[in-house]
Amino acid sequence: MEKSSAAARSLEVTIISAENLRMNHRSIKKNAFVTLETDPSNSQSTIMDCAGGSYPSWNEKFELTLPYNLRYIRLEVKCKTATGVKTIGSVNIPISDFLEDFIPPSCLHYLSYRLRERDGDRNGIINLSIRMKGADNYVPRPLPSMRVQTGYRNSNACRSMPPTGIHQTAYNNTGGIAMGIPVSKGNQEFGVKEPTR
Amino acid sequence: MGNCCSDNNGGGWSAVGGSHNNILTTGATVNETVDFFLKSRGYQGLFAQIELSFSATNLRDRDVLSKSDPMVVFYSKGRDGKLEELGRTEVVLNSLNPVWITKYVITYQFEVVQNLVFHVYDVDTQFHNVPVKMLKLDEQQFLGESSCALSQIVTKPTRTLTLSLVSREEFNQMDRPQGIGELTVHAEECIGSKTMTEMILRCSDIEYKDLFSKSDPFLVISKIVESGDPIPVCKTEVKKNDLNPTWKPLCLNIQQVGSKDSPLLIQCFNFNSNGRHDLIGEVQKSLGDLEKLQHNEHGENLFLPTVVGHSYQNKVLKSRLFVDKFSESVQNTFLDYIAGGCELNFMVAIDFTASNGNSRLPDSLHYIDPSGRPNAYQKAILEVGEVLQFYDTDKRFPAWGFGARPIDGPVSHCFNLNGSNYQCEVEGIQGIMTAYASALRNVSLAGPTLFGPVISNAAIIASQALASNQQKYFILLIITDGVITDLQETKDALVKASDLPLSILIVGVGGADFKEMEVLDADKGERLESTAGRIASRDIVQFVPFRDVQNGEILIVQSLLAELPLQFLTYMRQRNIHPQN
Repeated sequence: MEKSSAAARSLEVTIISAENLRMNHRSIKKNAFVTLETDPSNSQSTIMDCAGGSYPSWNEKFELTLPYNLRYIRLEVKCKTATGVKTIGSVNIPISDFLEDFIPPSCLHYLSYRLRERDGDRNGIINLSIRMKGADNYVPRPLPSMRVQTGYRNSNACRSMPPTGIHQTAYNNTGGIAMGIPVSKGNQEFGVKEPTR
Repeated sequence: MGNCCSDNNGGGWSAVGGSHNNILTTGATVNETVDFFLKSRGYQGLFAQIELSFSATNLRDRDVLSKSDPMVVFYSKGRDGKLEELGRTEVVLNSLNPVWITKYVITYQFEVVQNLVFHVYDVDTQFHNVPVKMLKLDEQQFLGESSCALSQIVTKPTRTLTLSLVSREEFNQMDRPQGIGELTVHAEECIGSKTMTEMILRCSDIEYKDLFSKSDPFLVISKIVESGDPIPVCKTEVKKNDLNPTWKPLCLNIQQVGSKDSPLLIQCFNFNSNGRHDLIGEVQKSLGDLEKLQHNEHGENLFLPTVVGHSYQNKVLKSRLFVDKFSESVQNTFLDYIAGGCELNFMVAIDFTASNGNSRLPDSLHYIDPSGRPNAYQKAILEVGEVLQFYDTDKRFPAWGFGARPIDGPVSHCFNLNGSNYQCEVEGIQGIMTAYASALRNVSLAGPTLFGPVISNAAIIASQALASNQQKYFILLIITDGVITDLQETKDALVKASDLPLSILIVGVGGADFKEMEVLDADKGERLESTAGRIASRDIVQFVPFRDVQNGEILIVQSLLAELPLQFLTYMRQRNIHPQN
């Protein structure tokens, strides 16, 4: 399915900000930072935010190479306290969220995720943007939903096909309807519910 | 919005405390502040002050010895067709190609079609000493008239619209319609509505007001109108248990406060959950004064008006107000994008589920009255389409139906309303109406009510425009009679679509209980979250129930459209997209 070579793929990830970060049910005061990793040996982190309290902002840009078999990027939001560095929450971002999205991977994606604590409890939200580099000729797999539309009569008066993407078919060709939404299809496999490592 | 202390409940990227020079986050803050301001003033949506100026060419010459002495009278035309005079220009002497100096400032509202009518008169010499306001128009010679919608002017790249003048019917036999000149109307957005100031305010040494804890302070900034009364313009969030609070950045539009020198009342309150907040202290400063405070890094003492005998005295407090940051910027407005060629593309999806009732019976929501009175679906399409069509140049609208069974097929949750297998677009609002009527004859109503496929199809169209680098924004109108069965799938689709230039308007018709739909409209609750934990990057849904309230429907459609410019701006500013040209 990937047309571009694995080596050429790299990601530009900007960690923008986080919202409503809490530790032990209390809003944190300062010193939040984020680590990104594609595998345990390959991690980077932002600087610590001092001014934003429980709504920190970083706006820090990272370059990540995207290994061929990578399925998600892991983000952890941590906080430095008097007793050491504590993890506030984490999220695994499925790469399908920007590789198999409506918009091409080379466009800037603005993504927000719910952070989960180690025991699965909900914490704040993290905002980031992702753009894939060297993916200009990447052709995503057609989404299942592109096969949804049908006419209600079997008309011969066909216009030319729309330029890209939408493969509209007559209902009698599909022999059924694609009702599933593609959105969460990829996510359910390796979403945040996956046990933390 | 009623709660004075609701913190950022907007669906956008909530304001981020202490963020500096950050366009991404200020956009949302601006919207919330502006939104609050507008709502607090009774304005539901975006409004901008627009200055109209007029010129004309090739007017008819009605005077014998000299040329015409023209004047323009402009009117707004209500929905009932009644004209209301807005104003008159001065009389330009002896000119068939006049450029009038008088400007007229009009408030542009996105959600209403504002029809304007212009009458041009030749004012006879004998009246030249009479003020224009006093002129009796029936004594003047009529040179021609013309009309347009305000949105037609502001969507032009030059913001200039040239209209052919037409004569009244009685002149028709004598004059060809083309021969009586042209009127040019130019619209300019006032600079005040573009200038934004951003401030970070801080207080020191706030007094204890609560019995057992420190105060919970927040600020309210009000402008002081001519009568001396303060009108709240914006407020900060509540800082819990904080005697030295620094609030999140505040954004103020210059137009909101009048000018940089208009006095502002800055009041610090202690939050009380019963709504009776105690005044901690106040200070009166203009934006210019606040800028100086920031420059000098000087704190200003708050004071508290206290009653001493029969008079008020201002008790000076130890608490001081500081301005940590003050910056001004000119921001792109909604109209800048529109004039820059950004289009709003309209899409429609109609509910064909069986709960609407057999469309041949008069009690059905889909019943098409032979008398021509539109049903609820038709009304919603007409009223929303009427406003949006001005922003879509090709006027080709994708239209779908869902929840019905096409001729001997299975239930489809997204079929082309025109019946075509390949082309979902129809021509104009009338095209939607025709396709709707033809679909009603050709499908059998079924169920269940699923939004997911329709939203995904709209998202695909929006993403194609994005991928081909066109500056477009899409608006999907979904009209439905019932509560959706695929709530979580719809949420998932919406979360995914929140990254696209797309807003979704949902109109609920009929008497069903629409409580669940309110969940989708993020400004009434939390930001939408998908099953996988992804969160909508902004609010893209607006929901209203469209009940058969007498004379009330117009307002309902307005409230539906009112939020659109703000959703549009959040998208553009979040991505740092600038208007073309």
